Amino acid sequence: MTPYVSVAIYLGVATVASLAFCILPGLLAQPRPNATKEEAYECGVEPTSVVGGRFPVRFYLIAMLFVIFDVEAASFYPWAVQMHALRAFGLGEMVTFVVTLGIGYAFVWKKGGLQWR
Amino acid sequence: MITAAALQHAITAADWEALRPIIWIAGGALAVLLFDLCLPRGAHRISSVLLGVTSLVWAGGFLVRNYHTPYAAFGGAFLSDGFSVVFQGAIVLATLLSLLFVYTFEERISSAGAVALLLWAASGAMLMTGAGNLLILFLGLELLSLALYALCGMASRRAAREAALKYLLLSSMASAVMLYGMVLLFGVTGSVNFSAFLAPPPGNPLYLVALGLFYVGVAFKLGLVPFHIWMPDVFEGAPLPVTAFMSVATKAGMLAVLARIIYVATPAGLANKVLLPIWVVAALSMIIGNLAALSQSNLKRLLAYSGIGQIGYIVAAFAGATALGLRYALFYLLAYLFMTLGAFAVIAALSDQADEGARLVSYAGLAHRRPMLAAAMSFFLIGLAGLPPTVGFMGKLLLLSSVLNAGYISLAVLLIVGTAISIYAYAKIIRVMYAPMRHEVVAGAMSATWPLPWIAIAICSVAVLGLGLYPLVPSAVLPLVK
Amino acid sequence: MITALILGPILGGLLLFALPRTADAAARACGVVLALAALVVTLTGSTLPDESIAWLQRPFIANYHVGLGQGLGFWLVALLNLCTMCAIAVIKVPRVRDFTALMLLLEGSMAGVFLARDLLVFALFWDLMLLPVFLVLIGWCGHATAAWKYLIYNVLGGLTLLLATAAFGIAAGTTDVIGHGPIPVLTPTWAAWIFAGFAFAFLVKTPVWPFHGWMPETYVELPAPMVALVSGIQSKAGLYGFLVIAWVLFAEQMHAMVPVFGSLAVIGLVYGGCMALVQSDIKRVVAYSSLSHLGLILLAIMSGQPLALQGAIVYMLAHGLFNVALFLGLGFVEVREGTRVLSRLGGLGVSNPRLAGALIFAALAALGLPGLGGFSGELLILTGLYQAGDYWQTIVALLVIIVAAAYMLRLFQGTMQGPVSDDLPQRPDLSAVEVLALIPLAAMIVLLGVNPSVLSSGVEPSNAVIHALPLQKERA
Repeated sequence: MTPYVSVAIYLGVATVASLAFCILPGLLAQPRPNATKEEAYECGVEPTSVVGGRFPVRFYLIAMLFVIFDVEAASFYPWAVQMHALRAFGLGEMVTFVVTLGIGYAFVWKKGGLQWR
Repeated sequence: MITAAALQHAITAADWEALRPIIWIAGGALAVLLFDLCLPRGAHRISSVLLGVTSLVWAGGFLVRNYHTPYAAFGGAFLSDGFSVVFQGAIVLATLLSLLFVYTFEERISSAGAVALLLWAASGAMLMTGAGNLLILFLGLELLSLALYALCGMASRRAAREAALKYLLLSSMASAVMLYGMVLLFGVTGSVNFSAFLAPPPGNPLYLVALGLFYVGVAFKLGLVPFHIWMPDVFEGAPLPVTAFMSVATKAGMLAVLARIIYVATPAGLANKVLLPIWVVAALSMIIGNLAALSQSNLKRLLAYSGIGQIGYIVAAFAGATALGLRYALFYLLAYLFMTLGAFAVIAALSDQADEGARLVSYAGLAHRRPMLAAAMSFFLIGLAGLPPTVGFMGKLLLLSSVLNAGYISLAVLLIVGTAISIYAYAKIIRVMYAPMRHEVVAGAMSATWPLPWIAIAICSVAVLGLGLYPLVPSAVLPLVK
Repeated sequence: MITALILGPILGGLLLFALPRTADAAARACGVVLALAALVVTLTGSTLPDESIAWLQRPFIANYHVGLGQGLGFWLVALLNLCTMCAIAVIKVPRVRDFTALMLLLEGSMAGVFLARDLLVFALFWDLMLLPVFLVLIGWCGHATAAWKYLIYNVLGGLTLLLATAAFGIAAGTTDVIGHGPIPVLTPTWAAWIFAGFAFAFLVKTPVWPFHGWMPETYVELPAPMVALVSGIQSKAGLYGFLVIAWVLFAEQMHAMVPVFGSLAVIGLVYGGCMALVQSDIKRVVAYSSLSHLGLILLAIMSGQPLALQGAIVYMLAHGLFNVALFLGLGFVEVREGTRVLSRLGGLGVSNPRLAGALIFAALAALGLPGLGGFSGELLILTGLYQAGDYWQTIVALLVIIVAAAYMLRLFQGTMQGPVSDDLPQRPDLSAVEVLALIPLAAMIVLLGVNPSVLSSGVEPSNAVIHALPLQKERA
């Protein structure tokens, strides 16, 4: 059971902390609302319409493509750290990975997935 | 602790040989995308199908070679044994035949994307068949599932969107349950290798919970009763080639996992206890799947329900974990493949881009309008019903023998009951096609433009008749133990 | 050559589809020629050796083993080919080509059942018999219920047979056992269940009361040529199974079940006779009379007495012949008048003397007129039953034979005699082809009637099947 004790402690701390952050402000804070505080953001541009409205699906498409090709970068990191140990094999793997993604990227581009119509 | 360097040295050419069929298919998918970018517009469809077929045939060649050289690749992570090669062969065949129906996709759907996704789904399923540990299994499963989520929605009808969403939600739920089971299995045994599950710590109730969750995931993906609710809707809504692919290739991948768990990862002392739910689920599937098929008026739905029953028969053959049962299960899987895909080929031959020929009403009087198609459909349905002179008859006989041989007599009787019920479901379609017409029904479309479904019909007919008269049962199929 | 008896009709039937859709006469001619060829091969082939090809090695040994021999199988196949030939010659339905093809398919699969020397081959053709009949029921008949009833009963029977065959193979290690070789010894539990499976299939196919639910409607709905084959020959498949499979391989279980099956047979005998007496549909009359006759044959088979068994075999063939003749005759009536209702028909004999002659001949054969096939079979059966000590069964059977005279004469009077129904069309008498088709049947009925020993030369000693029978019933 011993290896799990630390997990249990971590869980306990996390639970207590998150509960505290939720409950304590309600008990301690002095609510003094004003118009500026009620805004969605306390800085930046004022919202012009209701935030919960409907978005064109293009947003999601672009966002998803961004995530796919952005997260790719995260995969480079562990490889970069171990590059010397993995040597040619690691390089080969990474090239395959990039080429595969590259073909996908080209396909998306050619098919007009990146165009904002 | 395995260092990166140690891992690197362990990999030899033989490891890549074992994976080569899968690599060819996944690479073929990339080639399909590339060609689609380069070729002029008119040639997209035919080039995608041809490239897909080529890479599948090429991979099939490597499979034939791998069949004779069982090898535990990557330190046992991927097992290329006779067992997985036969399953992979079934998946390759099913994908190949499904590709022949690709022209039924609507014009605006990118056929290259669809073909590439089908190939990737196939490589995922193939990865599952050889998985030697839980990680590879899950990798294959997700590769398969992710591709299918997209494929299910590749049509503009509402039903397709419903199918895609339903499949996404329920299947990821099942994946999560299965993953939880896997994690617990790892927690209990301290290993992700299937072989480690042979010796669970005695008396740990978590082991049973883990196996239970794992089985639930498997049963869901196989569509076994009572985890089958998603299947008819998804099968009906998904485009025809995708339905055809799902009805065989997806099942084959998961059946391989189930068989491997039953045959090499279930401790002999516990087998009777922990496998009992599997037999119960198989029995339920045989009865309820076929019962539900009785009242369907859409052929894709009907084939979905009948598939539930047919997979139930195959799982029943694993009963007792006999070598004979495994061989006959594989034989029946091949039989099911040719019979079901033959039926789908007839549907494809009757489809056009506006309407998939899956509604039962459009089959009224087919025997008078398109006698060859009606005869082919009847032949495949007779096979699914297990009547001679088809591979369905021979397969049923062999399944029955192995189940009886293993001593599961009640399963054999239920198999017969399920078959009896299913015959009415199939006979209903035959009746619709052959009943005398009171007035001329001229259903729209119903004219095939491409010869491709006919190729599929021809292949399947020859196989259904030939294997029925001369049952070529794969012999070296016991899974490797690593 | 023996394989040709099975594959010839099946492949020939499939090839018929190459003919143009409207080539009625050509299809009919091809069918007759094929059946005639099969008949010639059968009659000249009694000395042909068995044909055997290895089929399955695992999970049990099964061979594609067919043999003609000189026994019951030989005569049944000869009867089958003769009757198919006569029935095809007089087909009068829409889409003759397709119908003929299905008739040939049925002929081939029934030949397979009677020729099989391996249980798996037997089961395969047994299940194959189902298809042509079902296809005709859905393609040529108005009511779907007949097709479903037929399917429900026969699928259950066929699948039970399949299960029993698989179980037999697993228990005995081989299925190549019909009519030859040593009898495998099974454990009592297995043997009992396997026997139950076979017996159920045989009872349904024959059919025997109370498994006859599919029969009346199927017989009524099927067009005459097909119903002639189904009632005349397919019904013998079950009885054949009792003789060559049940009695030989499961003698012990059969002995135990004789009282049960014997009682079913007697009930069927009486019930069929009484029902035939009150039917208003002409085909239904013959359907129930058939149930009654089959009950009598089953009774004889169950007695296990040598003379009764001889009688059963003679009567099986005679019943096949006169039932085919009866149904073909009634088919002529139906086609001519457009109705099967006994009360609407009448007086046909005046305008159609040849049809009347044919029908009265078949009816007399069915009611057991001395000199015709039915009589010699009945006489042998009754004598055998009496000698075996089954006194009350003999008496019941005798009484039912009197009833048979009543319903057969009622059938004939209702259709051929009495006042002419004016609202029904007047059609010409039997054509030359139709008369020609009936002559061989009539000739065989007379031959069986005056000299039934024509069979026994083949059937008695040389027949492995009868030879292997435990002829002496053990009496407590």
